[in-house]
Parts: sequence; C-alpha cells; structure tokens
Amino acid sequence: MDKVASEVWYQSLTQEEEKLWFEQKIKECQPKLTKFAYHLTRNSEKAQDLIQEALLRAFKYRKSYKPQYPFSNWVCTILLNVHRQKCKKEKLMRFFVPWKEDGEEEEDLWEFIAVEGDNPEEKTIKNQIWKDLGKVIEELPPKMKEVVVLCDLLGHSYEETSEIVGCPLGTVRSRLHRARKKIKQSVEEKYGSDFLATWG
Amino acid sequence: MIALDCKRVQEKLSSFLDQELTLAEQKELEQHLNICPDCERECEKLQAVRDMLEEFGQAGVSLEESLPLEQIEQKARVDNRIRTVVLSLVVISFLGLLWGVFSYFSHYEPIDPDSFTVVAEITTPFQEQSESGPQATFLPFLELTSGGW
Repeated sequence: MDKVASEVWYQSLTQEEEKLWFEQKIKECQPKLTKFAYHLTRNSEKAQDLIQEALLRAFKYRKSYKPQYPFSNWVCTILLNVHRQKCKKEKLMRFFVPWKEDGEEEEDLWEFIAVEGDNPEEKTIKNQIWKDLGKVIEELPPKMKEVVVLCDLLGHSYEETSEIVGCPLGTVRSRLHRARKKIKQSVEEKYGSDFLATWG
Repeated sequence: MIALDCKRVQEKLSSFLDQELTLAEQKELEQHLNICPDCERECEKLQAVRDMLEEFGQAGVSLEESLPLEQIEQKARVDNRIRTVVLSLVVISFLGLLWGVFSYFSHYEPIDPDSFTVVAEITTPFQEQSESGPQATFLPFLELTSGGW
C-alpha cells in the first residue's frame, strides 16, 4: 500500500518538478543535515564529503522515499549509512596504513561554534567546555555517539532515533542512558563533582 | 505495588527526564525521587548533562551552503571519471605485469655453460699473487685468448 502510494505520488511529477522539489526539501533540512554530519565526523571537509555523498545517494534512490515520513529523517538515515560505510573503509585502511600521513591531523570542529554572549571571559570558558564536551562525545563508542547526537544534540525523539539508527526503541533508551552516564562521569572527572550542580 | 529499588530507578532516569515512560512509570519514579535523596541528586546531575548537551547542540556551527544539485552531480561525474581512469590504469598495469611474468617463463631456456666460448680472461692481482708468489704484479692484465685487435 505504502509502496503504491509512494509510486503514485512520484509519477505525478515531471523530471524538472522532481528536481525542484528535491532541492527545496534539501534546503529545508540543510542546517540539520550539516550539524549531523559535523557532529559525526568532527571535520569540516569530511562532513562536506559526507553530505555530498548522502545527497547524491538520496537523489539516486528518491523513488524509495515515502512522503508520509519526514524527509529530513530519511536523508539523515542515508547520511548515517554512508558514514558507517566510510568508517568501515577507514578502519580497513588503517589496518593496511597504520601511520598517519602529514597534514592528516583532525580539524577541530569546535572552532566553528560561535558562543553567544558579550563577556569575553565567559566566552572563553564556554568555548573550553564545548571543546571538552566535543571530545567526550567523540570518544564515545560509535553506536552511543549516534544516539546522543540524534537525541540530545539534534532533538529527535526516541522513536525517530530508532528509525534512523535502525534499532529497537529499548536499545535507543539504554544506549542514551549509558552515553549520558559516561558523559556525566567524564565531565565530573574534568571539572569536579560540583560542576554539574551549578550548570544552568 | 512493589516499591522500585534505586538501581532500577537510576536505569530509567534518562527516559524519565525525556518523558518517554508510561504515565504510571513516570508517577512511580516521581514518588521514589521524592523520598530518595541519592536518586534525586543523580536525577539532577543527569538533567544538567541533558541541558548541557541540548545547549551544545543549539550552538551554531558555521554552515557552508551545500552545492546545488547540478553541481553535486557534476562533481560526482568528475570523481567517477577519475576513479574509472585510476581503476583502468591499475587493471592495465596488473595485466601488463601478468603478461610480463607469463612471457618470461614461457620463453625461458636454461643456460648451457658449454655453449659459451671464452673471449677474454681476466686475472686479478689477488689471483696472480696466490698462483705465482710474492713477485706478482699488482696491475690486472688482460690476456686475449682468441680473436685479436
């Protein structure tokens, strides 16, 4: 039924309309997609490549999109799949080339984050906190990281996250809880146990 | 109703904060938090982590405009072409190598030492010394045994 409805919807568009519709949809979900890619990779160049590949794949398989679901979630799923494949490839490459080449140093994403507020001291402190928090998230196991980025940083619900990640709701729940506990532990180790009580 | 123990409560705290529990569970947890200061403290800390992550997620990442679809397609086409050329070169080199190895072994004939004729004989000073004693010359000399200048 869903497939039929999707095909009927799809057939009603001409090629030009289809392209316009796709570009419009991409523009709408661009900020979310960019953030997702940046938080997954922590590298602007890799993030751009990831987005580009995900968009290409989305355009190639546009017929499989079901209009009753949010477009951004569909593209996020594709982006996550592309990211997972790239990680596997990188892991394989690291097996054969274990040393790091010059200039391959990870770019620090957190310089891109603009901290609001006028007080320069406050800005510096918050920048440092964001840097550390970014590192903590980066060091999480990949599956936990995906859930934290989707739920906490991008504000997806558990249900949406389970659809994007492709695992049951209970798994999302437990992964998120474990991830938050790990983050709490790391923050407390870095800034002391009273730090979280004063946050907010 | 069985009272919840702290371990079970703490496992559900994240879902409680996200309001992802059933109403009954939510109420149960609330009741427990009212009477258990340890769990309440843990809940407050997790709430702080959640708020911190939320704020971090809202912090702006400098957004670069993505390329329009046509440019993305064009770039992908160029990438594909480069990939095809590189792949073809690899395949051609591999085939060339295979051909080289194959032709070397198929034309290989073992060398028969008797088929050679001695053209020149080189004697080194060391050999000279060992054969004819201490009066040997230190310069190597070339003795033509066949043919001539």
